[in-house]
Amino acid sequence: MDILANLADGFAVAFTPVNLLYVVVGVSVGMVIGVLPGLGPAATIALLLPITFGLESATAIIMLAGIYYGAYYGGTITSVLLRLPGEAASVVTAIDGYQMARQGRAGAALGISAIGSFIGGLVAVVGMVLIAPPLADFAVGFGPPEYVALAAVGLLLVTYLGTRSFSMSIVSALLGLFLALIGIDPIAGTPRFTFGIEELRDGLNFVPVAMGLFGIGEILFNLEGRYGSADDRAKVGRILPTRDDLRRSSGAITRGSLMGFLIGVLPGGGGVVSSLTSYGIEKRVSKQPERFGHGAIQGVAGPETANNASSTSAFIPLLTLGLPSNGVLALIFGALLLQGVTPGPDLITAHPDIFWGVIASMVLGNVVLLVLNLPLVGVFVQLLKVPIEVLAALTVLITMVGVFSVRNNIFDMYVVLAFGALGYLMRKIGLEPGPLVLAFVLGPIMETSFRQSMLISNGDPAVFVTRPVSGTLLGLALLVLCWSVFGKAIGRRRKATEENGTLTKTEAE
Amino acid sequence: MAEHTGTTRPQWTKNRFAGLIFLLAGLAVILHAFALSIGSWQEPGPGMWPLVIGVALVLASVAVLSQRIDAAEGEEFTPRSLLAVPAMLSLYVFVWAFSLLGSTVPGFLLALFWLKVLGRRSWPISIVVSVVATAVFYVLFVLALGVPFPDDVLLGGR
Repeated sequence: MDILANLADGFAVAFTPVNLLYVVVGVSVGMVIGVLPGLGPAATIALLLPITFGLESATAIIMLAGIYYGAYYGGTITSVLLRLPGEAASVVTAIDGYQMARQGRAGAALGISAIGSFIGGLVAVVGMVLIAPPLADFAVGFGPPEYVALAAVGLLLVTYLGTRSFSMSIVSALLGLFLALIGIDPIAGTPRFTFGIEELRDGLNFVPVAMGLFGIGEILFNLEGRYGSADDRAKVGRILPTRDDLRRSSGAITRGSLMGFLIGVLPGGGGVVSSLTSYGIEKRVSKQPERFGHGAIQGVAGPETANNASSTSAFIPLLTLGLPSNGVLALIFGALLLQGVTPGPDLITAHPDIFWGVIASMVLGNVVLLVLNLPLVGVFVQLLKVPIEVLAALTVLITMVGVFSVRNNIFDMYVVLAFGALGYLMRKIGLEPGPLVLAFVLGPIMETSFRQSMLISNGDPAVFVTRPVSGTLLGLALLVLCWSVFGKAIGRRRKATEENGTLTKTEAE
Repeated sequence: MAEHTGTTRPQWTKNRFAGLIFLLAGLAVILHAFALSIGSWQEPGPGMWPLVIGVALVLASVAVLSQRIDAAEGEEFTPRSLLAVPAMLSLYVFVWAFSLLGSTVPGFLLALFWLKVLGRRSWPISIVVSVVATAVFYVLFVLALGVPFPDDVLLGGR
């Protein structure tokens, strides 16, 4: 079959010694930064962008992808042992995982999440192999209006699904769209928002913006000393889950894989949203929901499976449509652009080595993670003993020197500084940097497509709703938004009546 | 917590303040968009898309101003937040020194400042880590990746 032949080619790419090395490097770095609180996958990928510049395209993406899904494995360890989520998606794992650890079942919690993550990752890879090529074929027919709709819907969903308030996330995305305006207008050639600065005529470069927001911003934020201690660490105990554990989590792992895969394909769906949703589902499905929060193994297995599945399937929109679906994928999009590869529907046919190589590397990476994860838990926990101040010093140095190395440009170093300050202030006032970076990447695509759409339609804005695909997309987005706004209101009312109900019941007693 | 009564107001003001800045920024974008020429629906000019963003920014900032954002959204400024000022200054000085002196001396001093002054590590650790880090990055970027750093005051030009 065609797919199998392609997949075999992909494994041939992934199994070259260089790529094999970078899969291992990627997932190991991912695990390390997943363990370390404060330095998430976004910051790490931003910091490593200059280094990927010198690599082959497929190799670069293979390594960055490894960091992304590796971080989820690593984040689990500290969540379970220390109730210290190394990255956001592991926050729910800390609830039941830490309780399990306190009951002396840390090993089982770590074991089941490693197994769940592995299965979730594989299911997502299979789904990706089946879905991505037909999706790309379909997307080849997309015109400018479809791209405007896709990008707009994507941004809207990302801001909507974000963990912070909706209006603040929208502001963050709009700031990103604004920053993308700086420089020469792509069609008429007029300089815009350059404030008379010569270097700004070419626009802001993606690398210093991302490195400033995520790298320097993060470090400045951590300077204030917000990190836990590794002292009250739990004993790991028996690592292999018992047969009973497996039996009880099999449902959670199955649901987590499928749900995580589906949510990952949606914009904004990778990571946090999928693990939160899975936790909610498991609690609802469970016959003993009261066990959740007191060490229910399903509460660890489900979310961990889901976040790994979603971090894999989140690559689908990037590699088939050329649209990154969250902040981390926006960084990987940036890495591809640095390589001179513009992701889009023709990526699979034009650069099969990237697409199939990355897919094959994900299978490999998940195997490596499963093998590395459990025996090395103790080593990874030791990492927390490295003082955060040492990490900060090393990180600023590599950021400042690294950003220079991309374009050999001193001005970019000042851009990093400016965006470091912005990233710090944004965190302080509760603006997420994720939507900003995503919008910054999508901005030029949106503007060019928007203006082309207007030219095609001879100035009729109805073009966005009359074309079937863009119309459907915008309609669906509207429907989802309405449904969730009203759904929330109904849910709140139902909760209120339920509370009233229990109140009257207790009163009656 | 003693300062509990005080925390609600600054939080409120901070969000209002942020909303106000976004509002002004949105208005500035709109003004600039008009200066760039909007064009028509048939032929959008360079100002059309900025106008769309400016209007959306104004609308979103009005939404931010009109609601009280949950206190857990942002982070309070604490006395330790002042550390961000010397930290940023050190980076600024580093960029300037880097362009004149290359990576080795400024890199060593930057790492030393972050470890010793900002991080309060001991002298031996600070010096050893700074030397090693500077050397490793020099080898990685200049020798391995071949990045043309500015001429180095210690090692000279290449």
